[in-house]
Formats: sequence, C-alpha cells, structure tokens
Amino acid sequence: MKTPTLLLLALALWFASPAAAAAPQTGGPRVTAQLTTGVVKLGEVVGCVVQVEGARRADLLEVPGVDGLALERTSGPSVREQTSIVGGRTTFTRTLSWVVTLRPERTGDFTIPPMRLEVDGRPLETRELVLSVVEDLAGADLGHLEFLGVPARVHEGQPFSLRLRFGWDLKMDEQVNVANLILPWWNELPGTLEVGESVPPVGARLVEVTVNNRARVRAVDLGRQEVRGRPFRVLELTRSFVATRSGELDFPQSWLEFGHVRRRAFSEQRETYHVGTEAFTVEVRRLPEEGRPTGFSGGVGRFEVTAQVDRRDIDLGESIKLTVDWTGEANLEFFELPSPARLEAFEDFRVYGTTNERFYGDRRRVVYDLAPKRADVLEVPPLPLEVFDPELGAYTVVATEPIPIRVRALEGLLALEEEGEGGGPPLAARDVQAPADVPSDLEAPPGGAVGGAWAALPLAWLAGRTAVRRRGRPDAPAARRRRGARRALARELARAADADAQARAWQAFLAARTDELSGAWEGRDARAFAAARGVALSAATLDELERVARELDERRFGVGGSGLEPARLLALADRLVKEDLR
Amino acid sequence: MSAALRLLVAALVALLLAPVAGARQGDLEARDAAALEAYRADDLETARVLWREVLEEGREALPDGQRARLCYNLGNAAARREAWLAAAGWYTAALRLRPRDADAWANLELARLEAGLEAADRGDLRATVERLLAALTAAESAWLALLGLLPLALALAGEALRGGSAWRLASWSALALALLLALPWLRHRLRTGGAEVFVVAEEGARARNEPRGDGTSVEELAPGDVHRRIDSLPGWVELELPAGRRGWVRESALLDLDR
Repeated sequence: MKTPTLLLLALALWFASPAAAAAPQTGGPRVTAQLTTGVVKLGEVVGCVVQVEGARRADLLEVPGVDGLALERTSGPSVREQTSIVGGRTTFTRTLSWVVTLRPERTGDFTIPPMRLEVDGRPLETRELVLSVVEDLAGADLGHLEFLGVPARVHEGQPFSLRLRFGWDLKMDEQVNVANLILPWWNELPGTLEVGESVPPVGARLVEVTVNNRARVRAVDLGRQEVRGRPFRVLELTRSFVATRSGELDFPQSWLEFGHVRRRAFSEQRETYHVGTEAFTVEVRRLPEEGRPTGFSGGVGRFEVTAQVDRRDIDLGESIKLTVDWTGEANLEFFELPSPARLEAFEDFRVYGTTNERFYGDRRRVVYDLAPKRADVLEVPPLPLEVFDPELGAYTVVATEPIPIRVRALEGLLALEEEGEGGGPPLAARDVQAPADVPSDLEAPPGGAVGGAWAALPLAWLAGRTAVRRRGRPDAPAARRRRGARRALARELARAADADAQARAWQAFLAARTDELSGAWEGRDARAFAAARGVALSAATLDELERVARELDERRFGVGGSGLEPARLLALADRLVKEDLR
Repeated sequence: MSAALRLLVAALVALLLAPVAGARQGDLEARDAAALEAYRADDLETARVLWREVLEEGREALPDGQRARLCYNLGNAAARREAWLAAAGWYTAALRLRPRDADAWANLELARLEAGLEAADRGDLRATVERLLAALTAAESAWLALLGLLPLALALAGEALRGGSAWRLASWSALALALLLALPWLRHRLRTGGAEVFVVAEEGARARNEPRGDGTSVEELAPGDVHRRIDSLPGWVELELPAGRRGWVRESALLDLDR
C-alpha cells in the first residue's frame, strides 16, 4: 500500500494554499477542514488539516470527541503570511493551520462533527467530515501481537511484568525494515511505577524497535517461532511495574506497525501493515488490614534472603560485617530495611548502622556493622523481614539463617560497658567518655618559652659569632690548620718510625699552632719566642718544651735514632693547646 | 615589704584558698558524674545542662583533655536528640582541644553527614595538610617547636665558632626543620588570636549590620559555617565575614568552638 505521510500532505496543503491566497480577497475570513484520507485502515492514523485564511487571529477552541476515534495530538497553529502584487494591486494573505491527528479504534463509518474556532473574535465552525475505517486484513494475517503473563489482579506494591510478544510472517522478513509499537500506555500508566528494564537472558540477541514513533527500545529477538501454524519472526519486549494504589489499571489497545519504508530526499513511501490487541484491565487490590504486623516493611512479593558474615572469629568489641541479600519477584527497591538495633534478638550486639546499601536490579544488598557486646554470644541471630506474600494472600516473615560465631573475651572483660545504649543513632564504639577515659594532658612549657627561645637563639648566635670573629675568622686556613694541629700530630706520630720523623711532626705541630712555616721551630729558643710573642706559657711547660726539643735533637743526630714516647709528646701538645700557644 | 614577708603572705593566702579550690573541683566532678548517670538513664536534657555547667565553670580549672571530653559528651547528647548541627559543633570543639580523638572524628563525620554538611576531612591534599597541622595539642606543639630549636642551636653554635660553608648549610637546614616543626605551634597561636563560632541554626543565620532584629541583612551564613568572633553584646555576636566585612548574628544560632 502506498501511503503518503501526514507531514507531506500537510506540506502539500501548505504550498497549495497560495494559489487561493493570491486571489483577491473577497468577504471575511475563510475556514476549511480536510482529512488526509477518507478511508483508513485500522491501526493507521489520519490527519485533519484545519485552515483559516484572511484572519489576523484565530483559535481552535474545540475538537469534538467521536466514539471510536481517539484524539492522538493537535499541532499548530502554524502561520504563513504572503504578499503578492498582481496587475499593480497588492494582496496580503495570512493563513493559520492546525493538524489534528486521530487514531481509529475500531472499524466503521465515522462522522466528525464541526470543530469550533474563534476567528477575529467571531465564532466559526468547520464543515462536518466523514471517515471510513476498514480492517487491515493483511496486517492481521501477516502480523502477530500478544501480551503474555498479564496478571488478572495484583496487590498494591506488588511488582508485575508484561511480556509483549510481536512479529511478522517469516516470508516477508526480508522486506520489513520498520517495526513500530504503538503503545498508548507506555510511560503513561497512572498508579504504577516502572521498575526498569528487565535483564535479558545471557546470550540473547537484542534488536532495536521503535515505540510510539519516538522511543527506541531493545527487544529480545526470539527468531523463528510457530504462530497460527506458520513460521514467524518473533520478538519480545518486557516491562515491569509496581502498582502504587488500588483500583484498575487500564491498558488501551496496542498496535504493531510493520513493513517497509523507503525514504527519499523530501518524502517517504510507506508500505506498512497493522496488527493490534484488545484493551485489557489489571485489578489492583488493597493490602489487607487483617493480620498486618506492626513491623510490616512494605515488602510485597516472593522474597528470598541469604546472609553471610565477613568473619566468624572475633574479639569482644570488634565489628562484624553482616551482608544480607534479598532477591525474588518482589518490590526489592521499595521495602524498608529491617533495623537490628530495634530487635530484641540483637540486644547482645552494638549496631553501628549500615556501611553499604545498594540495589543491583535483581537483588538488594545491605551490609550491617555489628559488634557483639558479650563474649558468650554464639551466633548472629536471624534477621527477619515482615512482608506480604500475594500468592499466600497473607503476611509472612522472611528471615536469614542464624550464623554461628565465636567471640574471644578480652583479658578481664567478659562484656562491654552498657553506657549510652538505646535506640539512638550509631555513634563511635566508645560512647560517652568518663574522666578516667582521658589520658592526662602534657604540661605545656612555661608561657613565652617558645617565643623567648626563638628570639634568644639568633641573638646568642650573633653575639657568639661577633666575639669569635674579633680574634679572626674561624674558617680562615691558618685557624683551621691551628685547630687541626693536634690531630695531625697524633696521626704523624703514629706513623713516625724514628726520631727524625717525630721531630718533623713535632715542629709541624708547633708551626701550625704559631702560624709559621714548619722549619721555623728548628733550633728555636722557646722561652725567647714566648716572650717575643707575649704567649703566657707556664714555666713547667716551657721547661718540658725545651727538654723535648733537646732530646729529640740528641736522638736524631745520635746513634740509634729511636724516637721519644709518643704519649709524652701528645701530653705536651695538649698542654700547649690548653695554654693557647699561638 | 621585704621579699621574705611577701613570700610568707603569698604562702598563707594559697594555704587559705586551697580548701576552696579543692571543694570547687569536687563539685565539678560530682556534677560531671551526675551528668554521666543522667545520660546513661537516657535523661539527655539533664546531662546536657550539667555538662555545660561543668564546662563553663571549669574553663580555667579543667585541663584541655577533660574539657574536650565534656565537649564530646555534649556532642553525643546532641546527636542522640538528632540535633546533628549542634553535635557537629561540639565534636569540632572537642577536636580543637584533643585533635587525635578517633571517636570524636568518627562521630564528627557522622554528624556532618547527617546534617548534610561536607565531610570534615575531605581527603584532598589541603584537608590532609590541615589535619596534619592540627594533629597536636597546644602543649604538644609548643614542645615540638622547642625541640625543633635544638638542632638549630647546635648548628648556629658551630657556625659561630667554626664558620665555613658546611656549618652554614647545616644552619639553614636546621632553620628549615625548626620552622617546619614550629608550624603546628604557629597555627595554635594564630587561632587563639580570636575565638571562632560554628553556625548551628539549621536554616542558617542572617548577619545584620547592627545587633537588632530589624538591622540590614549583610550576609546569609550557611549551617556549619565557621567564623571568627570579634565582639559580643547580650544575645548578639559580631562576626568577621568574608571580604573583611562584619555582621551581627543572634547568639542562639552560634556555638563557641574555643572552650
């Protein structure tokens, strides 16, 4: 079937109108209404183009309802203004247009009553229009659309899924390049929450289809399937909902448009078929008041639960991470988590709250942080969750299995202090602090000590430095040589093999101390030198200095040549350093 | 009056006042114990009032650690009433006195989370450096600053007596080390230049140009903000605001952090 698009028709009408508009304007504004087609197949849409010419302002006040024709949308007005000069006469034309899109819901002949407009303040009407809707027999034969797993009734809070299975005859599979699901309830179903896309089976082949000419969604390609005894290409789309209030959920008629569309630069040629399903209703029941437990979590559905702990051997007061996973066909996202802190079974535990809480699509996982308060605790008790089971039609409890643990007592302590317990929020392991819990404070240094020390230190340094440098630069080579003279003497004496070497070392020491060349002390009179330099050496030191010089000379120039005892030389050197020979 | 006589008079006065001071200390301890009992009995209001009294009256007598403990307990009393902002303020005050109290840190982060505030330790470089600098008490930081002077004194002595590039290098290095070790002390000194307050009003607080309810609003202070106190009048506190501005805020919306 060759079906020009609604858009192209509207554009054609748009461009057709200037001919009329160019004609001299006679009389008042003119209102026209035209259907894009007089005969339409069930499943297709039909457009009604309403135009007002020669008016400054116009409003489409009302589109009358017609039983069997659903108003899909109204677009416009679009405004076109044109000025033409014909034979020296200037003509101004202004045209306002609306497109009203209708979707037939059944076959038959329909009369669309006049639509009311207000044009330049005056009420005007369109003419009556007639539309024939015929069944798409080919579409119904070649296509397939059905809902699976539709529950007749659910309870408030209960999740349920709709599986929409659709497809077309395998013999036309090569030609089909368009599959558009027309689902009026899509994202617009009051009284429900959509709970995300279901996870497709592992390895499933996914294909993209269009929903309501706009959204692109992924459907599972089931491949070749038998439908009405013939091979069909079948796809499946699943949506999950949670009913939020009691009443009825109305699912209007749904359609599948499939076929071939050939697109050109400014137009497209559609050869599509339509197949539909009947509208249906799901009843949503209230949760029964009878038997509703006070601790009801809001959970509705078939729940399963597992629990595990991160360790089973712990010291008293240490925490255990209890990981609980709730799974099953239930409103996993929406129930209130059980709080062990409020449960008597957990009175032997401190509950620090939860450290992690996540919903993974098919499971809700929570990690509780617990610490046993007593060393005789033998297990993590069952954690109950009070839920409503729609299959049983009654409230029930889903509980974790008890988990055995072993708690080691601390030395001299079988149980932790009870202070600060209660239903309050989780605080630090040690709650209120008693005076004895606080270690004694470190005494601060006397006031001003730090600042004083920081101020005094540079001053002391400056004073010391100035005093030292009055006697010369301490890092000058001569000063460093003098300071190192004693060390150099010890080193050289250790190496000296005879009196001659000792004498050289000794003279080098004296020369370094007096800032002279090494030979300056060869045969020198120490007393005369001290007097000349003004060095206050003691008489004993001078005597020993003379004795050492004489004995070294005797040994150097005598027979044998063995040296003096090094300790004697070093002792004298120390005395000279002490008496500041320089 | 001779020095000996003055010493004698001072000793006599101290001897006379000693029993009074002892009795006062005993009274604070008794009220502290009563507050602890009230808290354990879930009488949070009584505990709160008693601890505040002890904290106010023991400001001079109690050491930092005990005052930190009282702030911490007041934070817990506030947290149990789910007054999370006040709890965060008390824990912050406690940590200023005893910065390495792990319980106070844990509870502070919890209180800030519950109050919708950013974490106290954001974990970034700046927060880490701040926490490092604040990790010592005032006394500890003073001793550390003194300790840092020892290598500097040695290096300077060497430089003065011996001179030379090696001692100069050693002196500069020791100075850098001493400054580094003095940073926590400097931080404490700068902080004590003016007490700070914590905004505990859940809806924030309005700073006005005058200490009157109909004064012109100059700034909206967010809950959890910390500002320096400049002045106070009955029922009003003048605060230092960003960009050098000042504003008066109702005292009831604030909590003193320096206890």
